Amino acid sequence: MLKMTWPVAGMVYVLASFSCTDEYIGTDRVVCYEQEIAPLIVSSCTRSECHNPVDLQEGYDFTTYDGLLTVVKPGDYAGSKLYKVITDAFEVMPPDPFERLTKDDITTIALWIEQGAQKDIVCSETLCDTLDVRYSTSIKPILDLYCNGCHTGTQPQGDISYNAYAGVKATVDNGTLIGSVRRERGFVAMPKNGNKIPDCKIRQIEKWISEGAKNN
Amino acid sequence: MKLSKNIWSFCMFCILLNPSKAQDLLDALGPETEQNIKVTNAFKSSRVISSHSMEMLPAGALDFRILHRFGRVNQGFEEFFGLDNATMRMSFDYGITKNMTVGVARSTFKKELDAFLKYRILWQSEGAGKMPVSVVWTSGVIRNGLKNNVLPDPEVDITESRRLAYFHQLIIGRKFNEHFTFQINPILVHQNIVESELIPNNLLAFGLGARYKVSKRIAVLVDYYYPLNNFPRDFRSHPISLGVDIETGGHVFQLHFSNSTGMNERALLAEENGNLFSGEVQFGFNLSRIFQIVKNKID
Repeated sequence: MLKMTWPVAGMVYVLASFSCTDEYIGTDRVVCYEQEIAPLIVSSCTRSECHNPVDLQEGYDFTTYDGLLTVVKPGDYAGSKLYKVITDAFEVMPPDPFERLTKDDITTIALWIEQGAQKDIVCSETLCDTLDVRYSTSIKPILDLYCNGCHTGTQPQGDISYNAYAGVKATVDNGTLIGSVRRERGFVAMPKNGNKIPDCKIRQIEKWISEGAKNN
Repeated sequence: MKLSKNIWSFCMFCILLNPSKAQDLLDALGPETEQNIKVTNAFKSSRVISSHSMEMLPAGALDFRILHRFGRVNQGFEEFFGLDNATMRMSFDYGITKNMTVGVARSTFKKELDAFLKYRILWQSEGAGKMPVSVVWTSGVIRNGLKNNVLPDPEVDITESRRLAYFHQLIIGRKFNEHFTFQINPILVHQNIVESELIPNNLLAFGLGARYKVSKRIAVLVDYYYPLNNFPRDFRSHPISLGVDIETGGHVFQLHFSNSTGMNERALLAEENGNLFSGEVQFGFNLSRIFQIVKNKID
């Protein structure tokens, strides 16, 4: 048996002597609090009875940057409570009956934390095309970011369900979509607890409605 | 890479200790002493489903294995429930001694070539000097063989080291009785380059494998990993496989369902696995045929 020790040691050496490095492919993407994190958190975590300044569930108010930072360890996404609860197996946030955050949303949040969880970094304006406006490429992403944390799933807030196009069309027809996002008198200002949707995005919604609010 | 260096030195230490030597001396004491009987057939083959099992090949035996996995079953009739798309891993494992196996394999997924070394440190046995568990160490290297698109960013140079990943795994298993075998198999997978800063280069996971023998020829198996630090953390896509071993004179035929496409250690833990709860599982079958190349090889 002893005679086998040397061949084994030799193979172990050969395997171990391969270069072993720790590299990652960096990204040019800079995640912005105002444009990406705030709308996502407001839409997913501050719905009624949750982490808003009125209900203060568990004492958390995530409508402000400082409030959110109580569950974030800048530079360490894996050690941040925020990351742990949105990826947990059983005690997951947002809780039932709401959907788990998507992989893209989790990546956005983790990347923001990893980049230092900053508030005031210079962000380039994201491309906002008000000429060619379609439901699938322009409107759906706006709704996903600003509205669908509350207005999807089996128990959508205010019984306004954006699970499918038909629900969106209904709020276009009765005027509540545009009234709410423009924050006009007589409508509930939306997104609730959050800042107004950027003007350019509201212009996209207006353009889409004026063209017949098609499912295109 | 400090961690894996420590593990290597631990492995070397165990090899040099060579516990079977003391056993030989005991055996030499003569017929008065109680016989030491090694426990065999804890698993039907040297793999549970995708993971290494506590079993080893006999000295001089060549194990030709073909692992097949089809596409996702939830694709419906148009894709014939996934059967239109298959990935494969073909491997040749050879038992150099009864306690040491080496193997090479080629997977169609990412054209990966992998090689491993597997060494049995302790062998479960009954009788004199009995040993309650088997302890097996395995380490290997995996090389991505794609010509293009090795990395998602085309501006990053593809060097040889960026194609490589390694794994080290400790297997501690026990055959409790004729029917039931259980093993724990923690694993470390190191990738030299990863797709983003959010993904750790060293992935750790805690694995479990079990077999329950239903009849002489049929056994059910489970092969599961609990990843400790992957991104994003999502219990719905922990790698899990459930299978049935069917022994048909000379070879072992295994049918299984799994939520992972990859069939080597890197692909199993580092690639994105299917979401069990939305039916992202795949059907697969494994075939193993053992040829005794060197007859009655003594070690």
